[in-house]
Amino acid sequence: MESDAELVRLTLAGRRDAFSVLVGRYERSVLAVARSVLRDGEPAQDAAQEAFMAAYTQLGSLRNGKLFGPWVMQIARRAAIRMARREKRLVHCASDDQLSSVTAKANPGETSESLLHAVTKLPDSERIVLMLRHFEGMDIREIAQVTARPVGTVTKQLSRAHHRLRKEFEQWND
Amino acid sequence: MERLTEEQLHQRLAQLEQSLGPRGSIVDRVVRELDQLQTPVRPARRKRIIMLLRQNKRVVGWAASLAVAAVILGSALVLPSIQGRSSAPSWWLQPPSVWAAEVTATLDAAKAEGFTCRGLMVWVSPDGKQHMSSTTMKSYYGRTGYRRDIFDGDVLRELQWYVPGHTRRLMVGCRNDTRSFTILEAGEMPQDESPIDRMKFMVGLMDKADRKLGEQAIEGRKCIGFEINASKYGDNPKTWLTRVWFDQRSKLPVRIEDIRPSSEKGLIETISVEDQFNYRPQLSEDVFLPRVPAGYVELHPDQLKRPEGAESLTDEEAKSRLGLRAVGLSSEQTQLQKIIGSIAEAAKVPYVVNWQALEKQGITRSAMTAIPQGATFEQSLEAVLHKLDESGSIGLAVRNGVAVISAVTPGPMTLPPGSDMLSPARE
Repeated sequence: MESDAELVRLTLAGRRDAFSVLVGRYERSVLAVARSVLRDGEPAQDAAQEAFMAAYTQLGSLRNGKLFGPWVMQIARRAAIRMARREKRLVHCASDDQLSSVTAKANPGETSESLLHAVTKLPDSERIVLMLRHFEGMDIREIAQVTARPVGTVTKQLSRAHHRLRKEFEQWND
Repeated sequence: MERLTEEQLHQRLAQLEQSLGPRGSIVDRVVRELDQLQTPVRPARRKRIIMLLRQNKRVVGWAASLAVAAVILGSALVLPSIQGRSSAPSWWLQPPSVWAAEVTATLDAAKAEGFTCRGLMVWVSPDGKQHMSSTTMKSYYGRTGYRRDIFDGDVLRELQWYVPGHTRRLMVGCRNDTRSFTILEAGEMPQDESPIDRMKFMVGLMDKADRKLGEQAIEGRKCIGFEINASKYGDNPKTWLTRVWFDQRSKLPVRIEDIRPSSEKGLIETISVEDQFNYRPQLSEDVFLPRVPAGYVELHPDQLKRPEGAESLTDEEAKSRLGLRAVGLSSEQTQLQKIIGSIAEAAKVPYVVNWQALEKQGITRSAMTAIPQGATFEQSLEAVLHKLDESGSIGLAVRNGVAVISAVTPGPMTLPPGSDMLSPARE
């Protein structure tokens, strides 16, 4: 399995099929990020598509191909926020943080929404590992390959991500 | 305070993942949009250089000179390559070696991701009409295994998994019609070869292609193809042809046809087709794990071998016993019933009729029903015989217009109780 960095390199060399592999690899994660902002499936899909296209056209500006995952998710988040504003789904969003708090409070009873929000709030390194594991269905070794991180590091980051989510869940139930 | 266990967290994450909808939709959308983009993505190096120069005003002067030099040099070096790229969308118009390079790279990527495809037979009659086999096969090629599902019409008749054994590969077959399963040593069977590997092999022979097939819409995609004589890549007759079609957009194979002339009366050729390719289908490893439903009986491999003393018919014996000329519409029996009866009598085996498949072919049980116009003898047999060949009871081949039966008598066939799919044809 090619690493993200290798696929980015191939894409920049003109191999669009390499970019398709990257899209397939991060499709669910990017969709999850978009859903955390937009909630509805269809607009979230539009935002995810927009994010991947933006990533493709701006790929030359990504200095470290290893960071493709967090980078495209950041783009997805911005694309989703833009779309939310366009569609006037959110009235007051001065910043991403404000937006996060709005979306988090909107439906406190919905566990999956809250969980999604908690996932998107994880630190970059842990979020990407958790999403690849649970949303893209990769095992630890595959995640290590695509992110070019040691297996031990991936295991620790995943464990920390799980810990954070459990802790977050406990706070919701306090 | 409620605590969330690791297992509960995993469950909730799995639920969250499922709520995201089906996989692959974004990939399709992005690939379609990428196709409409004419400009390939490129590293943003030039932009960075200019930005660096702006930060240091002292070097602006010589930077400008450098830029002029770069423009002149760039015109000489870069323009030809840009012109080359502008023709990139029409990669199939390039020389065969360029074709081959483009396609091979894409095939490697596709193979790594896994794919599925369908296999079937098509018979072509002299009027050009094509008749599709009612039996089709869906093959799954993954990183960890190979599986194929065999359908009679819409009914899933059999599943076959190919899995690693202690010494050799094993085939685990599970039949829904007889509620039985079999485990065989598969070894290196032809079907283990991925069509992608075959494609790569043939793409390497593109220089020898007899002709390019031009553009054609297949499964809603714009495709281009080539045709090669099978004698060019093996010890094959010159009358055998292979045609391969690629999606212009993805450069992936869309349809593969192996064409053989037919000596059977009423047919001009038979075509083995692989189509409905689905790339990146997100196959989970579960797809390749053999699963036999409870209550299914194991059929030992020995039962598939020819028992001692079993009757074996030569071609001539079968020909005389079948007496195909005696089959006629004036008989009290329908033509199909007559044919079935003849085969069963010649082979001395019990037989069953798959009436469901029969009816799908437009054949009813009424006394006046004959083989529908356009259907070949072989097609009709396929419709009515429930693949007894695979249980070792009967084998069918058509040679020089004569159905040749090679039969063994392994004992009476047990029909699954309560089966609505099979019914004895003989009272």
